[in-house]
Amino acid sequence: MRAAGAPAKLVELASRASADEIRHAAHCADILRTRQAEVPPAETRLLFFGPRDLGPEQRLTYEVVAQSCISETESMATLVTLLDAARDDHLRTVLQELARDEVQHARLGWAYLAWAKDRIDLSFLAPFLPAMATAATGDDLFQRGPPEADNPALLLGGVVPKRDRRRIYLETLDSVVIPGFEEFQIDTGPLRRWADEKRQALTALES
Amino acid sequence: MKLKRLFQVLVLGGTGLLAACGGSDSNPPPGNNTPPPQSLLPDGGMPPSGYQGPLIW
Repeated sequence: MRAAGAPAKLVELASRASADEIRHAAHCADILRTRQAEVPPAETRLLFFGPRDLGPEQRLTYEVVAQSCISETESMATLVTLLDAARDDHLRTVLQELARDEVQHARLGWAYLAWAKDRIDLSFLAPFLPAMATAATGDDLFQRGPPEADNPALLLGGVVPKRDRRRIYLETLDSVVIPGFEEFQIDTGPLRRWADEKRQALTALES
Repeated sequence: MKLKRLFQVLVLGGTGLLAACGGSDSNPPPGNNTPPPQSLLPDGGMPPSGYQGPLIW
C-alpha cells in the first residue's frame, strides 16, 4: 500500500491491522487452552488471494477488497452477533477488543476504495467478487454439517451456529457489502447472482 | 442484526475516514454525505480514533 502511494493513514491502518491479527490469534489460542481444546498451529505464511496475472495496483486492490471490504465486514456482523449473546466476562472482554479492532480493519477497505476510485478503474473487480465471497465463507459454510454445528448453545461459548452463520453472511452481503460496492459504481451483478445461488442452496439444506 | 448501522459505521465511516482525519491526499466520499460512525458495541464504546463529534441519527 505504501508502494502504491496510498495516504499515510491507510498505510498506518494496514500496519496496525497486521499487528492486531497476531494479538487476536493469541487471544483465541488462550480461550482454546482454557477449554482444554487443541490450538491449531499459527499461520505464518504470507498469503495472497489475487490472481497473479493482475498488475500490481489491481492485485493490491483485490487483496484489500477481499480482506477488508468482504471478510472483515462480514466478520463484524459475526462479532456483533456474538457480543449480543456473550455472558462470560472474559469472552465478552475479548470480543469487545476484537470488535473495536475489526471496525478499523473493515473501514480500511472502504477507505482504500474511496482513495483508489479516481486512480484506477475499479470495474475489473466485478467478475472477481464471487470468488472473494467464496473465499471469505471458508470451505464448508454452504454444505451440510453435523447437527451439533447448529446447536444454539454454541452462541454462548463464542461460536455462531452454522445455520445462523449462513444467514448472517448473506444478510450482511445484501445489506452492507453489496451496497458498499455500489457506492463506488462497481457492478455487483455477479455477486448478487452468487448470493442468489447460495440462498437456493440454503433452502435445499434447510428443507 | 444491526445491518443499517453496520453499513453506516463500516462503509460510510470508512469512505469518510481520510477526509475526517484531514488527509491531504484524500477525496470526498461518494455522495459527499457521509455521517459520522456510530458505535456498534453494546457498551457504547467507540473504536480507537473514531469520530467524536455529534451523532446525527
